[in-house]
Amino acid sequence: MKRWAALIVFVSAMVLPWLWGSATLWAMNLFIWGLMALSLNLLYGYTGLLSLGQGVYFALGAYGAAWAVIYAHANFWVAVGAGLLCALVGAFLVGWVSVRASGFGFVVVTLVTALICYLIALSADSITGGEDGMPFRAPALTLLGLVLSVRDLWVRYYLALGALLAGLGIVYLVSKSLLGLAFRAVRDDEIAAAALGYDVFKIRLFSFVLAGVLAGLAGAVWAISKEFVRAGLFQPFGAFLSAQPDPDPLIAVLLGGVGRLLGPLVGMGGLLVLRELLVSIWPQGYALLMGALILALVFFRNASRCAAARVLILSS
Amino acid sequence: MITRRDFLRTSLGATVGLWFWGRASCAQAQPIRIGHQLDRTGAVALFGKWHNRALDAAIKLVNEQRGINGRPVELVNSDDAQTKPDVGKDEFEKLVTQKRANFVIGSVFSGTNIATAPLAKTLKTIYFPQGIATDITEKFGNRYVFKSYHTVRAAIEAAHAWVFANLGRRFTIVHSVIDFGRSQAEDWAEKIRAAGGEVQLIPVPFPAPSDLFSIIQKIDLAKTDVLYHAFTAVETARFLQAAFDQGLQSRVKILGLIEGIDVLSTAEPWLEGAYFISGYPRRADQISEELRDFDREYRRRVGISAEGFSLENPKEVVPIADLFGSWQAVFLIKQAAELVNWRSKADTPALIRALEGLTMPASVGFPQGAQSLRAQDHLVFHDHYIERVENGQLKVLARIPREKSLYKTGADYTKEEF
Amino acid sequence: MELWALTLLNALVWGVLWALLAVGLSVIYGALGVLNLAHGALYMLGALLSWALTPTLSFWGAVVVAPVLVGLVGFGLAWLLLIKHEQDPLTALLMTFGVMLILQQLATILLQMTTGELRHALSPSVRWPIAMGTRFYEGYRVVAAVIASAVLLGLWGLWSGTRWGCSVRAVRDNRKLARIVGIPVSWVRASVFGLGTALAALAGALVGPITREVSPTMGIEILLVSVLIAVAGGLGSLGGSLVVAFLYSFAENLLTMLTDPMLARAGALLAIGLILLVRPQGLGGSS
Repeated sequence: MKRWAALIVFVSAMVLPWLWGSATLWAMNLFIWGLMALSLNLLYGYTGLLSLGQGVYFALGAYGAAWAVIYAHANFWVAVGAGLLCALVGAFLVGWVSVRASGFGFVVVTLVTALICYLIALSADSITGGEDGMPFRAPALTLLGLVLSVRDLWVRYYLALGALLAGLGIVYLVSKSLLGLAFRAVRDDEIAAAALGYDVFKIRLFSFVLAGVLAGLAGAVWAISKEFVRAGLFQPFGAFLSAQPDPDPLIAVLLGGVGRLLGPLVGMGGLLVLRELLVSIWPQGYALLMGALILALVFFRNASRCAAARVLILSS
Repeated sequence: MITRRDFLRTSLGATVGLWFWGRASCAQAQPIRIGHQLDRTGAVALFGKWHNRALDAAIKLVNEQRGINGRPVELVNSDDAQTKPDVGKDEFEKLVTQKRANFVIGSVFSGTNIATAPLAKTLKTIYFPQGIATDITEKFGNRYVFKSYHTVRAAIEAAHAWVFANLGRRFTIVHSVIDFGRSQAEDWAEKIRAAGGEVQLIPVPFPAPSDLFSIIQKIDLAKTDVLYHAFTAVETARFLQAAFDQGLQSRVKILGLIEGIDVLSTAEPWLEGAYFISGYPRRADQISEELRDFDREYRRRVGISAEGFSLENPKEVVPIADLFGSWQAVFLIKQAAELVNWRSKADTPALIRALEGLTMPASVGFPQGAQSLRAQDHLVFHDHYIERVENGQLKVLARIPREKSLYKTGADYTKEEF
Repeated sequence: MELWALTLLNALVWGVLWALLAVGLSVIYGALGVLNLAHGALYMLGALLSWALTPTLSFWGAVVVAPVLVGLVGFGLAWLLLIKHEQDPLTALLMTFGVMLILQQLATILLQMTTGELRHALSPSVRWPIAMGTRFYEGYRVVAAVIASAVLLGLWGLWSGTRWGCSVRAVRDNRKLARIVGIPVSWVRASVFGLGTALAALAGALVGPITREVSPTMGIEILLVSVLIAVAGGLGSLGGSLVVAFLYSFAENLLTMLTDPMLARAGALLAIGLILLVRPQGLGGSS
């Protein structure tokens, strides 16, 4: 039954641009932000590290790809690789410092690094474009001898879908492997895990870097498909400075079920539908509802006496 | 009780039904669709609202004059572009591909304009960005991008001679680091150095820090005749107040583009005596005699009082100085489309050739006065005004003819392929 | 010369205001074990309330009343969300994040309703310029700093000299034992949260005439800086927060004179971050 459902979803995702053209752009955004939520879920859901500065690696992935194109006239695959490399190096450096702390200490380090990166990106506006951002011309996508332009919506759509499937595959493999077990062991009881011989620092660092690379992949795909980057991507809580916040990966993870493979995707889908519904009738309502949603989800998950929680949290 | 299955079935049915209905209605009389990349929220939401009203009024007027080539014109608004470049770009794509807009009037946010410009060429749709950062016609423009009123560089070219002669050549420029502010700083700095003046640049983050004290401290008053500010609305107010509290207004001349205070009332002590470079006088009695009739009609149709306030809400200041960009974009489309008998987007290259080098006589459609569209960089040139706040009201000190704003451009889009 | 003197004076004033914010965060953490991400939003609420109350109560009346009201709001929030149902630290942090979003968005909607699309709420104008050489310094800033210092001093007295302060320290050090000796633990914890938010609101009310504008997002701007100051000062330690607040303020203000404000802030944050690298438990924290 589950397999059939997955097959149906997969096939409809494959044929969507040809059947329902006007939803293509929406679905593309879902895939990119969904990948971002997937990355956060790997870190928070599986390893228990709550990062509120995951936007940094998204931004590094985006800028890595953009800089490779602008300064080195890189081709498509090199640009994506450069984005991943930037995110990887950034995540490794920050992770080296931050994963030594856990709980709120980790949250503070991720937030403050994000703020520092943002301020530096604003200051270096000649290479980042500052708050206005900067456009660039994305290189053509070459695949099996085909040359495809990302200016065609369907190319962008399958690019985002491909990135998402790759991300899902990685998270699935990790969660089924011994490494996934180690992640969960560290999440559930740090001291017991250490006593069992796990190197808690290395496991956390690996999880942090892997999540960073996934966020970087989302960022690189975002930048290439929008042909655009802006410094605001680095900003912690940046999305919440505007009246119409970008879909927040954390809320998607909480909504879809922490530590579930497909949960973040379902959650992100829910958020994007909600936004589409509210944008025409009550534009300010979306951000207000986000706050209420966090409170409700967290509150009911913890005070699990409430039966409504089972309905709200789809799969936990 | 509606089950999920019922809901899915109904919505699927409705979608299919709408699609067929949409197909059927297409076959009837084809209106020409002008899209608006509209920022409903964010930093420029207030401007977005008024540009939308101006477009609405302009299109109503065009339809009263038998539309374009006898076809009715329709305004299609985007969803919220959110004053964010990436979102604005998506909205542009939806306007063209889903809402089938034939032309698009752009956001007032330069970042959105710059992000959208390449897409205009990809989708072969003429785009009229309303932001004024210089880059949009010099660096990031293309054959499909037209600027229906000035950019920063044109305004500075027009005003610099008057400013140097009357206010001085030793400048301190305090500017926001967004394109809008940065292009003002760069262009002024070049002019000032060429004229043998002195210039000190003080960049300020966007959004500006909550305490502007240390920024004001950096201004070297002994080396400053003109304090030039380049911020957006609320930040201009905060900066000028902070300067006022330090007693700067009495010691230096304050200068800026009117775009910086476009939505603010001028009856404030910290604005008294400040100079502004503007494209359109805020108060009707400052308009030259020969343009008064056009101005009256323009204000009446958009809903602006003689003092520059909204007719509906007498407390709301209308950004009149940049509103005419959207208004006259509609008449630019009309004039050029009727020249080449534009029928569908296949005729757009011909329309672009007609726009390149077009001259527009003063009329209700061009209430600002006679204008010309330079072929190379697709920029409209018009007269400029130097205004000063006297007794809380903007007064025109000088009118600068448009020939003086014709700077040398490095761009040439006429050589570009379609 | 007078430039540097004015800069140092301004750094001193901001040092006290940062201390007010960080101490609030710090005492809340000490008693509840919660990092309060809603702190910035409550600071904004203080500024907003004092702006709204000024026409009826006068500015100084509003400066007194607004923090009291916000403190009561904080008390209620803590009681409902954090104390009635005991939460683990990360859950509690997420809850304060939710509160932050709600407060900020409510403020946006309210400001839009009262001041129009531009949301331009100008703070009450209290300046009292003092001529210093060729420049002016706003006497108000000095007065605000003095008020803030007096409040901090009073807090220290409350902390070390009263029965309530003794209970707070007992709750911080060992909650179970505190309950056994008859301290009303829940009440003490909620009152500390209320007090901490009242300090944030006082900072917001005092800062209005300095920033000249009340905006819904003003809280996010100061949140991370005050969190870092509180953490680097050692959570739960008042003296540590105070010292780090001044260090930060001097670093930022002096760097602003040398470079652009963004790099100045990034540099000051990095400098404070270095304290944590050397002493992970913070300046005044016990390991």
